[in-house]
Amino acid sequence: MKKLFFLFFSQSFLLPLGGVGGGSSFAQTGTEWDNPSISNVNRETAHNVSIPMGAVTSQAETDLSTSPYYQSLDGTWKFYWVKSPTQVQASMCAKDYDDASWSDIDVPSSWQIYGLHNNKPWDKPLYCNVAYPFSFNESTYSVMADRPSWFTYNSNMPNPVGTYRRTFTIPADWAGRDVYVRFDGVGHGYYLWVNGHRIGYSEDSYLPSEFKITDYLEEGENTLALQVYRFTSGSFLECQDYWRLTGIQRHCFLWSAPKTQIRDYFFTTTLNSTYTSAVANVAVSLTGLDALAGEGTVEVNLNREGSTIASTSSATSSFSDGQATLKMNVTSPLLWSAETPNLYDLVLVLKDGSGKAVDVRSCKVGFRDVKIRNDGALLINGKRMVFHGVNRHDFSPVNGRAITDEEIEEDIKTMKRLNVNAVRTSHYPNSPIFYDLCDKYGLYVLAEANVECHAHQKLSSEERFRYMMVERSTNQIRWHRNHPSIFMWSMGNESGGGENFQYVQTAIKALDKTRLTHYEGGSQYADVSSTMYWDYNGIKNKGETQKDRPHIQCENSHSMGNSMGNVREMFDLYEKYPCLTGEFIWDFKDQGLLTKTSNGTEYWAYGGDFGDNPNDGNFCINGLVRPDWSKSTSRSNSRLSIRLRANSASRTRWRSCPVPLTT
Amino acid sequence: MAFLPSTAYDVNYKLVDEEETVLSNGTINTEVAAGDSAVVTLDVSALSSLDAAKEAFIYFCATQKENTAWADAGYVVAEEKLQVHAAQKPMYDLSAKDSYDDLEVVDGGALATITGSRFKAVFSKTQGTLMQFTYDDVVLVNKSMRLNLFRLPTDNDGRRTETWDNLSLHKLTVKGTGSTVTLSEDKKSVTVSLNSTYSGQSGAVCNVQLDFLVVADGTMMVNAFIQPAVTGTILPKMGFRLEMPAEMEQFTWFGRGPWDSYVDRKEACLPAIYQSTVTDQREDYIKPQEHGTKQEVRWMSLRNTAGLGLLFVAPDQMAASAVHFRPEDNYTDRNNRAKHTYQFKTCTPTVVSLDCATRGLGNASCGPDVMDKYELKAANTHFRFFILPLTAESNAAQAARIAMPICQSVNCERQTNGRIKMTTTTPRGKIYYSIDGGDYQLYSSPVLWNDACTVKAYCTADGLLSSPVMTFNFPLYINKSGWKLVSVDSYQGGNEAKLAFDNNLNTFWHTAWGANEPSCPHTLIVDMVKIYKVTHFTYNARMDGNENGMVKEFEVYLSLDGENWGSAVAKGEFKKTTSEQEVALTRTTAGRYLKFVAKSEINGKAWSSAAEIGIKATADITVIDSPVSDGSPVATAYYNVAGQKIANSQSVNSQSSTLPLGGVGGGLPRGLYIHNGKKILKTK
Repeated sequence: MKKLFFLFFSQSFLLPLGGVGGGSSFAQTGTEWDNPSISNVNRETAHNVSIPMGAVTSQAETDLSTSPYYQSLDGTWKFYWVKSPTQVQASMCAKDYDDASWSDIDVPSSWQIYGLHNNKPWDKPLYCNVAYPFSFNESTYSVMADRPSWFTYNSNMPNPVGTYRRTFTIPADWAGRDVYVRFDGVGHGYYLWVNGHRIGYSEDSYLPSEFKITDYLEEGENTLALQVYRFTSGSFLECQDYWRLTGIQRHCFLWSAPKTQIRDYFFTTTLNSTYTSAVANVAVSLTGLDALAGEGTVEVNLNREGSTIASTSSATSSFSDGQATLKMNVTSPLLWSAETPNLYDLVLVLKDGSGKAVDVRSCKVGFRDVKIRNDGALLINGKRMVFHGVNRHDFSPVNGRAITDEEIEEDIKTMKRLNVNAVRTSHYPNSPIFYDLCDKYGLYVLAEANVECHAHQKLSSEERFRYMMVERSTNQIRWHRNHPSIFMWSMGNESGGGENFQYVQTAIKALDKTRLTHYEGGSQYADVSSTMYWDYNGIKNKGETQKDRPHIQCENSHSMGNSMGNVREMFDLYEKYPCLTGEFIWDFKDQGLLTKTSNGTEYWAYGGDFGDNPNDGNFCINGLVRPDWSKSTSRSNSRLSIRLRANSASRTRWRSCPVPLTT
Repeated sequence: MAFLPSTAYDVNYKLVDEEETVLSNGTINTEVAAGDSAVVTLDVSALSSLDAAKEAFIYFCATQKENTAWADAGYVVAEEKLQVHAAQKPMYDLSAKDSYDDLEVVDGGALATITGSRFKAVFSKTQGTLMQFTYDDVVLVNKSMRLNLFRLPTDNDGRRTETWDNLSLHKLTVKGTGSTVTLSEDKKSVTVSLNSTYSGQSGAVCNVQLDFLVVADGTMMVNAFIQPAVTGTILPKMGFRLEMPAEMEQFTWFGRGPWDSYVDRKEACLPAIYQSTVTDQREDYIKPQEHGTKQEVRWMSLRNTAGLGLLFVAPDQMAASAVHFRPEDNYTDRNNRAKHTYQFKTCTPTVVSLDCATRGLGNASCGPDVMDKYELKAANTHFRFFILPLTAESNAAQAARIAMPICQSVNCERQTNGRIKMTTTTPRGKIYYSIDGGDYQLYSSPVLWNDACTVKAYCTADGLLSSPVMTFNFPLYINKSGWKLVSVDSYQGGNEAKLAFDNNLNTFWHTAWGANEPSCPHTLIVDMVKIYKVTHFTYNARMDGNENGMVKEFEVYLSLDGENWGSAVAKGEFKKTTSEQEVALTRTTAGRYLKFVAKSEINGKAWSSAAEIGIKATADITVIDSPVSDGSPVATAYYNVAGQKIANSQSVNSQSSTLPLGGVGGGLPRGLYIHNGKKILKTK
């Protein structure tokens, strides 16, 4: 039903298509960016991230770039910065606009960071915690209200807009296929042009956004342009406590699919009570079935280390409205856990009537379940969980929010070395590769949606913003729901306790019943209860009195400076009481931006160091590790410790239990 | 672990002494299933051959068997080290000094200099401490050993820095208040006793008594007594700090390490002997702050590359650090301090801190503050340690295996029932005390003495030198347990008014809050039951880190009948601090009823709160009612010729029909007394 709702909007805001050079495609930039009722125009519905593979293989491929149907758009683009939407010109997005005098820019990058390193006269990084760095109209929710003069984004620079341009050509063997462009993350909102045609608009800086561009392509060189707004109506929900950065900050690429494609699929497992056998369920969604030659089949293979463990298939004729769920029985599945991250290769093949493979999709999957026990304990695969967790921001001291894949992997390796077993994606989804790595290395992921209106928490009671809060969760689920590492969905952070979250909970459950839900700002809406920074007595009381559902300290042990006292006492509580599930440290890495003093001395910067206002000083420096992963003595020596209680000189009780973050 | 059994790792153990000599070792092969525990028996019979003066530990280590994507085989996943043998250290041998040359003492006006065959120790009387120490013509201490109560505040310390700034903890000034220098008869040792007061912008913060026993071989035994002017204030640390020249860079310590550790964050720092340099202690927090402190230090040495230096030995344990920075060089006040590492000022000398107590870290930057058991609250503290010279031939670990052959100093405290309790930690120690300059007598049980008094006390024990003499001043005993609440205009359930005079700083009175809350002024009236000649009023604000209700403007009134109050005997404004605040009355005034009026709140809010209110007084004067006419005995008590009650009735052995002239209850001034209903005249 939600799908129809959005289609309605797309149709009614279908953009006029002129020919090349037609006047209407150079019309004024739309007003969607400043309209809280519109979060996207013509954007594809979210779906599993995988794209067609070149051939049927036994092994699933998480690296999409290995596919012949993938073409990266990363690299050097042209960039033009203006300080206000009044200076934006749609003509800059025309196909043959001369951008030779424009600045270069790296894609992906945070433009404030690129500007800092390359001495550009653009806006600089700004760090603030609870505040919006902009002001807004309280009745229309326009982000272009008068600004205090001491704000960095004041009337002199109310809302920068960055225009990006590049060209591309389509490979010959993509002929006859549908072509999509996907951006893994652009903030805070952008319009897309292909060859001078304005294709659509998208908000939500931390989920992929995808547009179908087949009909706008030309032979030879094509032009891609984006206009990215610093502040949009999406900014209301992006008030996270971090460096405020924007731009095309994640990978972007073109990909192509056959006219009939496996558009989406959802893998779940139902395990028996002894965890010795399972049913693997694969819900498959096909589109463009009319274009398929003959009677097609969808084949599903579950492989491991080259062997097929289970497989099944179904005729496309038995699909109803393009949907069907296929099932396979698996005996003695190797379970996935953070300590034993056993993965299987799921390969789906759509074949046409002649048995030819038309579309091949794959991903890594795992067998595990998440349950609540009758004493309130949180169980994964039947075992009670105590999380040694961390909160992790996407942050690189040199790249800002445009953290590279290698840096993400180093983050994860560092966590594993520190005996961290769980991570909360505070407070927005990460790049797809992050979840692949958590699947592979073994980390339990509390996947949090990109929802934080900390500066104006009553938005959770504003019906106008309800759809935005809902779709940021449902879209996250659609993109990332096949990852075994994700065990719980979090609806957002510090956004008030309004009833919008009841709708989010309902929408999440409609899409995914295999995981639990979480929202600290309103635990009444979620499956588990949650607190931040509660002290010893508060947690002890919670442990003694709560018997019906798990309790999570989603943030604790604030690791700011020389810190983290009495972690041992807290974990003694977490280990003792069934409903307690451990904690997630705030946070993993000091968010210090590498910069230089005027005489060239390097240092890590925090809020205010760029003259940014409003700012919250060094309140972003809360990490277990320094920006370069070196350890502060507020140590990240979380070790799975062998706890010992000496009974006498010759006998010791030896118990394996986690003692994280012993510093 | 929930899913992997113990056999996923190599688990090894070794039994080691404090110098890491392996006494035995082995592998633990027992398979412990995931989430389970097991009892493992280990052979520690090798302990029987261990030198009793050395500690021993069992070290456990679990390592990866195979390479993983994030770490190679052999990576330590978990480790722990438990003490299984405590050291029994022999007494420092006092007879060894006899083989050294006699000591020379030059006792001047400002300085006292003690010279031995290889060393020179200079004491400053104006600073009340050791100022310089030279050995083999090399200066080892070049800046005086001063009381240090400050650390460069951590981000978590932010709730306390206003109090610390008000006390000027980072820039206390010192004034010597008295000293004695005594050369022993055999001229092989000198006792230097120095008293001093450390003050901040608001007045005295601490009195310190330092007693040095300087021995002919260059050993110095230090007994310190730190007496805060106000007890209960939360402090960052308590100890002493001196400086050594930059060449004293080779840093070895036996304690937790190798990183810094704090009382509530030390588990990952295993106890061992560590060798490092002072420079390596630097930790670059993005905003510079306290670092480098080690917990549970048994001893630490600072030496130059030739092996010359000093050894600091704690008879039991202390916290300690050696760094190249001074906190006060990086801190003007809580709003003006080094913000980034490039602004962090280091210094060339080695800054040595020896701490008897340190505050935990907590998580107050966002979350709960230090847990109560890890808090450092100012209290009378005894602290002792050795300072020994080291040369190239010295083995520091061996030299540190000594206990101090001096009795522990006596601590005197007035209990809540008014009696003065005297304690020492020396086993079988005998305490001798004197009150108001009287003869010393042997202590057996808490002494009844309600009046203001000065107590001196020391401890003796067989085989040990006597402890230094400690001096304690006590005000008149005010028994709050009998105080009664007369009235209060408002209170919140759980924060009743009586909590403001229950002798407990952890409970507090708070006026009602919420809808319709009454605003200031708030009034609390107490019946003190006895009449006191009041000299001061004291106020303790709530200490839970919350400012709500802390009183700003106030007035105090006294009354003899609870109805006639007169004008305020004290008024003014309290500061925003959790230290006790004492206000002198404009004039010493007799009163039985105390009225405290809180006129405004520290942040302008409607409430008032108080952890404790109290008085200081010179005498407890309860006037008797009209004389008894039928001859029946009045309650047993002492009343003087003016009809004023001098001492509590309980203070007298009620079976005796004569006045005690001395001993328990003390010598009373001459006068007319009633005892057991009988009139007695004491003439001298």
